[in-house]
Amino acid sequence: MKRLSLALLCGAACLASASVASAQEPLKGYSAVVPATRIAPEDSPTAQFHALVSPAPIPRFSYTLQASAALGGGTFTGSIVGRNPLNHGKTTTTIPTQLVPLVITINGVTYDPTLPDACVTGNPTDISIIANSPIFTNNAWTMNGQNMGTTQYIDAFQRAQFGLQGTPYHLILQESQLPAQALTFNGGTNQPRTCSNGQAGSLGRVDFTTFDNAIQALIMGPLAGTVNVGTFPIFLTRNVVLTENGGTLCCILGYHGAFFVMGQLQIYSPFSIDTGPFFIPGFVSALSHEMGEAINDPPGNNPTPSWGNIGQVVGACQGNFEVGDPLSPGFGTPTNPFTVVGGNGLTYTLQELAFYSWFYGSNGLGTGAGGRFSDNGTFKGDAIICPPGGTN
Amino acid sequence: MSKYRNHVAKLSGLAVLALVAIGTTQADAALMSWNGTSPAPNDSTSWAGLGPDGTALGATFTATSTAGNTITGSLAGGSGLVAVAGVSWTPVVAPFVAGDHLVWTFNNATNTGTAPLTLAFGTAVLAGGVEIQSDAPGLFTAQVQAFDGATSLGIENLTSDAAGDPIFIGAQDTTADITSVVISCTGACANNDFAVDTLLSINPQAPPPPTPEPGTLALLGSSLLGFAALRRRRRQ
Repeated sequence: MKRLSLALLCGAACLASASVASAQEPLKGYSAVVPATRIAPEDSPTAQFHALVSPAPIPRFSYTLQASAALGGGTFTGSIVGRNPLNHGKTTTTIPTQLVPLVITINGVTYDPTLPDACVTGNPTDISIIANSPIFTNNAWTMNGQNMGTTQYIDAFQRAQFGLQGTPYHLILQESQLPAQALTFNGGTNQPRTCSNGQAGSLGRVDFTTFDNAIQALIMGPLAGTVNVGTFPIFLTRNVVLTENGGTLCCILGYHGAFFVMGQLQIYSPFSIDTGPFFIPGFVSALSHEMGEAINDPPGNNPTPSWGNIGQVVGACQGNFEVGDPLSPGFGTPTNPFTVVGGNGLTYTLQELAFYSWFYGSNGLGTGAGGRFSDNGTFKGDAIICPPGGTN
Repeated sequence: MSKYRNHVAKLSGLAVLALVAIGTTQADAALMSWNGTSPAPNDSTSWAGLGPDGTALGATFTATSTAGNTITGSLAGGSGLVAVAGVSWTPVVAPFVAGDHLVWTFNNATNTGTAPLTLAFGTAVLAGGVEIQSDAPGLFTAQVQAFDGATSLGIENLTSDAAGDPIFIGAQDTTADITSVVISCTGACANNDFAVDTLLSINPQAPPPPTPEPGTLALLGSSLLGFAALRRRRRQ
């Protein structure tokens, strides 16, 4: 399976939201994943670069866990970005993270995250909103009553899920910005919408597969070398979301994907900044979801016991280690996002994420902070095998 | 109490581990494994002088033993780290002791192990060895190769328990001709990623282990007797 279908991810709920949009009907934002099944062609610029340079890949560790008896007791093997939390040596692992603005034109309407954004107080550029967000800047984090230190959000989450508070274990996303890349789509749609501050805005919609093909073509072509298996490129769109099934299944706010280059894993993640806000306020809810998932499920198919009927997975089961999906906001499952005021005065929202112990019912990699199963207290027990799914 | 005596005390339990050592190899019939306790070391080299936790080490570094022997360390991978047990090296398992400074053969910029680790003695020694633990959990086999100049005197191997708790790996010769030891590791630390604690050695030029003077013992004994008499009088 090339990727998980949005229909599988969200079941009937997506169809309910797929009706033709009225002027300001509420929208639901989803996440998706592109598992690493594709291989960069040998004659592609990226394969040729890697054959010549052999860059060191992003560090990952492999794990093997036995799920709890209630979750079937099976043995599961996967990989996670960073150092093994069970290693004796605790230190900082740095992930070069490249922020790539995408200037997208859909049927003549351009969405440019490098320009001042009239939908946001002070009119900052979207690229600056992201670069100054808690994804990349340090804030003090208390998760389930435990002090995770002053650090980035994803690092705090990793420290919390592995019970590493008080240690020098860190996973730091070292942000850099690459030149904007222009993409033009003639098959998408543009929907005029009004931002919360009254400014006129627009929501662009592009077919998921068409968009992902364009992203992978960028990585394997013009960005080859600058982007390599030792870097993690993230692609920023302004208010451009993705659709499936001819545009009737909407809206994917972000996804993470991977493919193989010379046997090494190249991870990447496109996401939309939602400045309307048209879906979720706080700019980085989707990004925090994707970053948490890309770090913990870099190949997109780390297997887990079957879970589901929770978060954005409505009326369906799922079997991969996607730490954001069970707590995606807006689907009826209680979730408890973090709200942080950044140094730029903007208020950011970061999605609550599920610990590995929720998926496996295991403490094999450490006990989650506060004895909980998600980073802000929502999951007090582990998953219930699906069907029926849900959580303890 | 001198530093090496502390280590003798905490290493006493390692005699049991030494008994279960497997795979000992001897290229030189005279070279044998050393467990760090018998014969007792008379010199030790702490790594505390290399800097605080997290200090980056270059391809070479130096330290001085308590008896004044100059120790030159070198890392095949070009760099390493100082790790303090209980700070960046956790959990702490005996015989490692919280607060001990360790040499960690790891480069976190490249996320790679940097062993083998060579420890060269300014003055040749009769025996030398270190406590060692793999970074990754699980069974490992440590190896020490002793050299007299460029000539290999032999290789000693010792395997940890299944959990990968620290062990002492050392070698001793019949004459004080060991000018360096090369520490490496297989198993859980096959990626050249491990840490070593204080270097112990038998250095013929080091002073013998200090023993309490008779006068000191007599003073201590009389103090204890006086204390006991005082307590007896108070009870009455």
